[in-house]
Order: sequence, then structure tokens, then C-alpha cells
Amino acid sequence: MASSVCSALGTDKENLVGKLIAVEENHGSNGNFVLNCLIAEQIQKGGGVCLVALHNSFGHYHNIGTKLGYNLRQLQEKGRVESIEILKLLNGSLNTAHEDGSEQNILFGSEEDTVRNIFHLIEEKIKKILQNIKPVSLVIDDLSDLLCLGIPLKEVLSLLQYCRTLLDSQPGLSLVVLTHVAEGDEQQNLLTAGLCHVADMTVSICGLKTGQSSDVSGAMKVIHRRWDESAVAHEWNRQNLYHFKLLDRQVKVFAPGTASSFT
Amino acid sequence: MLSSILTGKQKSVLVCIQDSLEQSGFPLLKAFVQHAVDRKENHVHIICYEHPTGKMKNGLKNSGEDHVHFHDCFTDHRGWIESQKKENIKSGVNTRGNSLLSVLQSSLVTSTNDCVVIIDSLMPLIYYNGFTKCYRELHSLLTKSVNGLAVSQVVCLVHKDTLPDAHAALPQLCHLAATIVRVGPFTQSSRGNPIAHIIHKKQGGKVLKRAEYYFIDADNRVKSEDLTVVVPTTTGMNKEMIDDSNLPQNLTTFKLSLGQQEKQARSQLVLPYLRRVNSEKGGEVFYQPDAADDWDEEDPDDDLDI
Repeated sequence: MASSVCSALGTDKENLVGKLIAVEENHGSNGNFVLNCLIAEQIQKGGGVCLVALHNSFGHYHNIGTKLGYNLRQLQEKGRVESIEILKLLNGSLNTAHEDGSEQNILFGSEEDTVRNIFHLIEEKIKKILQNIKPVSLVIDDLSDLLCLGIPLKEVLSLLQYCRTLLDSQPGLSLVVLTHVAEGDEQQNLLTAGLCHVADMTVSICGLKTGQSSDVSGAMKVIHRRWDESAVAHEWNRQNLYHFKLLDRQVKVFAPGTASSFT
Repeated sequence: MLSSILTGKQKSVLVCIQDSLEQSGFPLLKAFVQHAVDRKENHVHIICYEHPTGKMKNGLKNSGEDHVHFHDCFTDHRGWIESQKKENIKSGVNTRGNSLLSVLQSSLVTSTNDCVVIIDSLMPLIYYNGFTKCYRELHSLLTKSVNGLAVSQVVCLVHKDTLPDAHAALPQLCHLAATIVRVGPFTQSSRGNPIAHIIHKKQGGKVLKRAEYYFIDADNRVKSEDLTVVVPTTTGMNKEMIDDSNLPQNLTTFKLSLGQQEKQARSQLVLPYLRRVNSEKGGEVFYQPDAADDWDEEDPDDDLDI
């Protein structure tokens, strides 16, 4: 499953270490499959994964993992996979909210403290995996959900910047961040633009403008940015547009206009 | 124009590069850094807010020289890591002075010459310090000397699409800047190179506007040329077609014009209020004398020899 997506992204040929991949999920589409493909590839390569789950639970990733041929829970026991489930932490925080100063109560307090606590949690887990294994992918799904928790944009961008600091300070780390964009949502748009400005690769997932189709699930645009190379005409900001079809156990990726029903 | 600003032939106090997701201005900013480094006249302060300093140093020639100073405002920009090390998390975060002025003040470089300040992106600064404070700092940087450092030029990058309240903030920045370079993606006429729209306010008050396309080579050297808009050969025809489409007869479904026969029929129709002139007979005078009329039977002109 993962191979078709990864070859479209070019991750099979390119080393991702030290890079930031932004996945932009436009309203009306689901970009989760990109994350799953990247996780699958990382595990096949023998690397580790640190999953920050805000949108889907760890169980969701485990279920998809079993379809793709790996067992996330076993890998977690082996120390190759770590997960931070913000939803569960939130639940714990709600339960202990009245007990001030307890250890678990990380999501209440000032907005900056919340984000700072999340970052320290991530940092701790990353360092733990990096002791065992390299390379490691830090996967955040999805960053814009923090906005929904009432955390201001400025703090979310701070968290992103700190995660990028880790990218610089911890060798062998790569970063995959998904954000959701709804048209007209100012905050989400600013966050996504801010993320894409610093990303090495942007994968933009959107539904078909014309509606639903049985042959095509949506369109995927891949933009590579090469910071170290000079701005040579088209090369610098290369774009590739694909259509994809999500199936039970695989994703078909093809050029626009070459869906199975047309050929 | 772009190269004369880069090389310093055209003096510009504040150069503001505006970019968007379509075309990044980072390579152009790097070219500005390279030119400032190579000039060797002034100390160059490069303040990295958005990227680690390594990203800026990568591919930059002579970046290790004495007059080049990098300031890392990217790593641990809010002091989270530092405060954790001190284990005083609960006592509150000691906010690091990441403002422009404090960064420059903390640098212990003293020189009699002016210095060049290059900021890799104003965005984090605007987010964490607020736009007004950022604007004020830029302004005071340009007018006053900081810690004995006089600033001769500031170059900064702004992302148009991540700026909160861009409709208000961008014009303000443009007002402060002496040169505004708006970077855009390539078009047909730029031969695949990115385009820069430049507005340069000279010290005398003259404002120059240019559109150029530029090319940056591996040594961060910029070549730029004026953008000549390609005029398609069918422009004239297109214009006529556009004018035609606005005429009512092209917009309506009714027939508004007349055919040849209809025109003839119209010309033959005599309308009731028009005077009918019978041209076949000659002129005629009808006269009916009344009772009191003195009717002269004789011809009054009899004696005349006509």
C-alpha cells in the first residue's frame, strides 16, 4: 500500500532525516492515509515512530497497521514506537482538574504551560526512542486540533518551532505534521501557511471540486522545496499533481485523467 | 534595479521582501546576505528567527569571517528548555529577550562603521511580540543608534499569507520600508524565473516602480532583467471582440436590425401627418370674389408690352 504513495512523494529515493513534511488536509478530504503510509515506510525501513495523536486514537493506527502488515502494539512494547494521546491526557486532566498541581494535570493552566508540557512530553519520548533506534519519525496528527482546544495560534506555532528545534538538535529525526484547513477559518489558514513556509515538502490533499467519484477519492499535490539549492527556474518549487483512490488495503495513485475507468 | 539595490548602488535603508507560499523569498534574502558579506565594508548581523542558523549558513560563502555575526533566535526562543534545566517550571518562564534591539545590544561587537542587519523572517517576531512592537523596534533601529551601533541597512522577509491582519499590517510595513520587493512565481514572459515587483523610494522622494525577473546562481549572485510583457499578436482582434460583446444586439435574443426589404417598405410608407405634395399637375390658383369685391374685367397689364 505504502509504496505507491511513497514513490509519489519521492520518499523512497530521498532521505527524510532532518526534514519536515507538512500534510495539508483540505476540508472535505482525509489526509490520514499519507501519515499511515509514512509510518509504514519508516517501520519497514527499521526506524522508530513517535506518534502524537490528537485526531485519531492509537487504536486507529494499530488497526490500520495490522492491515498493512505490522503490529504497532508489539512495536510499542519493543520500544520502537511511542505514542502520546492528547485525547486521553485531556480526559485524565478533566478528571484531576480540581486537584491542583497534580502530575497528570498538564492540559490545564495557562495556555503557554499546556503547550510547553506537550513539548516536554514529546522531547522525553523522542530521546527515549533515539536511544534504541534511528531514524525516528515524529508524527503529529493533527496540529490544528490544538486550536480547537482553545490554544492560541501563537502558542501552537511555538510548539511547532520547538519541534523543529528538536529536528536540529537530535540527529536522525524527521518530522511529519498534518493540519486541517477549512475554507474561511482564519486561524487554520494562518497555521497551515506558517507550517508550509518552513516545510521541506508539502503534501496537499483535497477532494474533487466537482463532487464525489467512484474512481477517484481526491487529488494530492506534492511540492518539494530545496533550501540548499539556488532558485533555478522550475526546479526550486517543483509541483506534482496526482489523483488517488483509497481502497481497503491499498491506495492507488495515478496521474490525473488515468483512472481505471478511463483506460 | 534589483542588482543595484543588492550591490548598494541604490541606497536603501529598509528593504522588505514580501513572499508567499507560491514563491519563497528565502533565496533572494540569502543573496542579500551574500552581497553584504562580500562587500566587507560593514559588520553584518544576521538574526535568525524562523530557521536555524545552519540553514542560512548552508551554501553561503565566506560566512565564517570576522565581520559576519549570526544570532540564533530560533532555538529555545521562549526559554522552555532552559527553564526545564533549571527545574523551575512552576516559577514561570523567564522570557528571553528576543526582540531586535535586545539581540543587537547583547552582541559585543563595536565598530565605528555602520552595520547591516538582516532578519530571516519577521513572522515569529510579529507573533510573539505583536506587530506594533515589532514596527516600533524596526523604526527605532533605523533612526537611533543601538548601543553605539549605527544601522545603515535592514533587510527583512515577510510572509504575506501568514501575517495576521495582513490588510492592515502590510501597508504599514510598506510605508516604513524604502524598498519593497514583492516576489511572485514565474510567468510566461519571465522564462521560468521568479518575478520581483520592486517599489523603491529614493532619498530625494522619487518613487521608482519596476517589475523584473531574477535568477540566483550557486554563488548566491543575482542576475535580473526587466520584465517585458509579451504582447500577443491577436490583441487588436481581442479588443474588438470584447467591444462587440457589449453591444445590445449581441446580448439580446430579439432581432434588432432591419433587412433590405424591410428598409424599402419603411421608406415607402407615408405617414398621416406628412404633407402630401401632388407633383403631377402644375400650380393652380383658386379665387372666389365676394360681393363687395371690385372685380376688374380688363386685364390690368394690358398696356404693357410683354
